[in-house]
Amino acid sequence: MQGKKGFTPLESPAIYGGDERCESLIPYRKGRVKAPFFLTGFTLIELSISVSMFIIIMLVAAYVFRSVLISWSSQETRTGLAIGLDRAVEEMSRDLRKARAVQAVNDEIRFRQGVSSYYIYYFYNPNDAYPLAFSQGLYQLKKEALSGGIDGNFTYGAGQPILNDVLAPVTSDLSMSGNLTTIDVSVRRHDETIRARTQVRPRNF
Amino acid sequence: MGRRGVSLLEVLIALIILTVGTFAISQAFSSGLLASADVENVDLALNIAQAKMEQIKNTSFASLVDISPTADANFPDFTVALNVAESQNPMRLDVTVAWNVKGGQANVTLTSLVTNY
Repeated sequence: MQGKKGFTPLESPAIYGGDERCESLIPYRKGRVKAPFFLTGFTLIELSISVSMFIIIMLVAAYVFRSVLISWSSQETRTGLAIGLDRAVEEMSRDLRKARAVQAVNDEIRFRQGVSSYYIYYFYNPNDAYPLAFSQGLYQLKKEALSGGIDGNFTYGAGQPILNDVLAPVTSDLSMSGNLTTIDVSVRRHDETIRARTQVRPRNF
Repeated sequence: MGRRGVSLLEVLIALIILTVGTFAISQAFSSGLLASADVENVDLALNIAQAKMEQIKNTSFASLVDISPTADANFPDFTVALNVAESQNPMRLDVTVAWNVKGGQANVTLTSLVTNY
């Protein structure tokens, strides 16, 4: 490297081959060399600044992208939960609205439809035996036919799944006060929780 | 192509364009998220209104009167109001559930008729 003559090593005649074209373009002034445009490279400072700026921009872009992905994923979970929850609450409301008899004890709802069809909505978790202690975090809400009237029996674990990932009572609540049945259900998935609550007055008592 | 660099004016214009673009994109994301939250609130408000309507169906016809907006016992961010068309049979009922949104209030209204039979 020729410190006196060359601003960068590229300006050294040893590198550009002593091309006359280059020689003629290099103006000498006060013992320093001003490089022709096509021979200059980046200085260390320029390179450092541009690499630093690139890293900062990349970090900001990655942070923004990550935030968007997290929001999108969270919203997707909530939408999925809300669809299932709405459908379940609507189905239970319709069943109870046309029920001819309803009984709600210990967060299970037993009801009669028509003359002699009896059903139960109950919480199910394979790690919690019936009658339920609600010792687990999440339960499945199921609907099953009863045999032997409104106080009759059913097979615990059997029946149609109505809703998954339901938070245990007392967070969720299936109860009755007077003629009003309360359906208060909270569901949780991936730290996202959604609650729906409504009341139904059966029309055919 | 000359050897001159970028002028301050050019840098400023570029920065302004970049800022406006970034702001627009962030606003778009923000609006999308707020819209999703609004949909959830509409669902919740409809359930609250439905529950109120069921309570009304469980009340005697003679005792139905207007109720000014009152915070819901289970969802304090929502207010419930009842407007009844007195001295009519069947009587028209409007249950309105309202909640605060960015820049104002949103609401849903359920309407039904009850008969004194």
